[in-house]
Amino acid sequence: MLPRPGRTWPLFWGLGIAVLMASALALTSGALPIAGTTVLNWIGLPVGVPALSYEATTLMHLRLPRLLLALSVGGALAAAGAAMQGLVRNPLADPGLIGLSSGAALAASAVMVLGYTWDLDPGLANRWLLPAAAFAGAAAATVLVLRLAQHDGLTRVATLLLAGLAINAVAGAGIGFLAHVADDQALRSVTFWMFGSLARAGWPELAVAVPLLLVPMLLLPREASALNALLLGEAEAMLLGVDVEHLKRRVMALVILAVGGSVAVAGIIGFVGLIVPHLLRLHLGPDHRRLLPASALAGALLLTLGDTLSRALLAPRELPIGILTALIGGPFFLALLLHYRRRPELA
Amino acid sequence: MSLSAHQLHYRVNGRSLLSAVSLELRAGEVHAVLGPNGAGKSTLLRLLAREISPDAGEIRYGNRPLREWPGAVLARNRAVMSQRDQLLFAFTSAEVVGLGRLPYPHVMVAENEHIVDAALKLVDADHLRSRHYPSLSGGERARVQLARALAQIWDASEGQTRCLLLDEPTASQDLAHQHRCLGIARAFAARGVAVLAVLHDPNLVLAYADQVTVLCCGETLAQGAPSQVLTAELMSRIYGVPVRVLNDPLSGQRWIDVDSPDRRY
Repeated sequence: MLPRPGRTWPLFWGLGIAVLMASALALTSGALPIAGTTVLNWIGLPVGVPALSYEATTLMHLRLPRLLLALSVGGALAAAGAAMQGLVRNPLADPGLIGLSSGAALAASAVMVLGYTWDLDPGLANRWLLPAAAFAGAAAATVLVLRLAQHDGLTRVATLLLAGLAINAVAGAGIGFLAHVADDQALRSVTFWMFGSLARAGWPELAVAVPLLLVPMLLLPREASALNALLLGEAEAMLLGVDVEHLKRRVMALVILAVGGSVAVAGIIGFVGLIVPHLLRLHLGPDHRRLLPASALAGALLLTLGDTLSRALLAPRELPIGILTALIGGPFFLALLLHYRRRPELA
Repeated sequence: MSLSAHQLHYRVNGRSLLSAVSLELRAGEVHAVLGPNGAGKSTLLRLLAREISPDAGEIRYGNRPLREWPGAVLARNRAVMSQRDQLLFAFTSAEVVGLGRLPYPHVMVAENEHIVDAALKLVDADHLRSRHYPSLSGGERARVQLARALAQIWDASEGQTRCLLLDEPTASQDLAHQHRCLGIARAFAARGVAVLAVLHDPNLVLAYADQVTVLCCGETLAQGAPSQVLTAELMSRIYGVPVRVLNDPLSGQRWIDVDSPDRRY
């Protein structure tokens, strides 16, 4: 396929540099401003003055894990969104909108509440049971929503979005019920899943989640050419030599990994998988060979900036990042709906 | 012999869409499939493309049953232009044609680009190369899809006869492009490709096809050389309108005309 000349590499370089700058901003700004040269000194470069002990503690235990989480959750969610939209051949299929995130959040909340009730070891529950439940919840929602929306190799978008709506409603009711019966501590955790936040995870959770989130970011681009063919239709992709059933299973597994992993460490952060691929398609076109890596970079950038902003807006308190992305994403989705309204095949 | 179907049956929900259809698609020939709407033409094409499997009967490609061929090998030897048009994403025309080169990941990028350019020129869509596919008209889209199918089997590979299966390639094309499209089919046949084309216009069949299979209600009504098969009697019978056959005294070409009483109004 022909590249769109002169548009691809500048964008990748620009995104890469922007991610680095956003990371620097995330590490230096906050309730305790830390000089940029001090941060560079802290990571081992021979510049600036060494970090004071409380600065080093802030960087090590608050800002760095949070930054890594923003980068990996943002990248994984955006790449998963782009892949999901390719899989169902529709630009409106956001993993949050079609119910994957809330499926994962419901399962995670259930483990959380039952964990407190049954007095499970919090280390075990948080580090292993919770991600496992989130994956199971995301997987169940994915299978359910695709079963409902696919018929004869065609995905009906109205059904997809409506099924997502129903799953979101049921999961919301489930989470509400869990919140109702939970004790105070569990309630705070459940609320945390409803409004995603990057504030909770520490190094032990990161050690499990970040590698899991890197897997879809690194492996989804391998399916890029086949996903391009799939945009022509399932039969057309098959005629071009793509093993469509295998492709769908692999992409779905990677999307579930990305969404389940994100929800396990950060709760529901919606619309990243909708906004990022859409803006990039305007610039790069729909070719997944460029779109998937660019989405991972831009998603990491968006969430890092968003998290820095959410810490600054109501300082010293912070706005959960999920509320911020929903505030931006809701109107964005409405604008997309209006844009596509003229096209009956999407309605 | 390259692609041959023997006694194909295909049913959906107990309703027979095709029964006992046989045909041979030979290298160097254009084989037309003609018939009224709902005759099973597209079903036959999908069976030959291995998109669906027959309930009974066998299709052989080369020296083996069609179902035994690896999908990747078939993808380099058999291209299909279907009537489905599901692409909603804003690929450019050149990118859509480039998707036809997907079965050739090890061919140099420059070579693939060259083939994409040549295919776009051949179907007279060169000026559309940077246009977004969803913004094209129906006829323009069909030409881009034809170019994609051509790019997929542009050069012979692996010593198999290449097959080009076209489902109503002339639909929504203007007069000049209908003839250009079938001229391309003839040119590919001349290069050793076996071409199957579902057509609705018996005059195009007479002008371009070596063989024709006439389907009606899932059954073969006639098969053979178009000038012998397409009689006034057969045409009248399958379409239910009076038809007369004219002969062009200059070229000796036959011409089929509908002799409809409706014309008087």
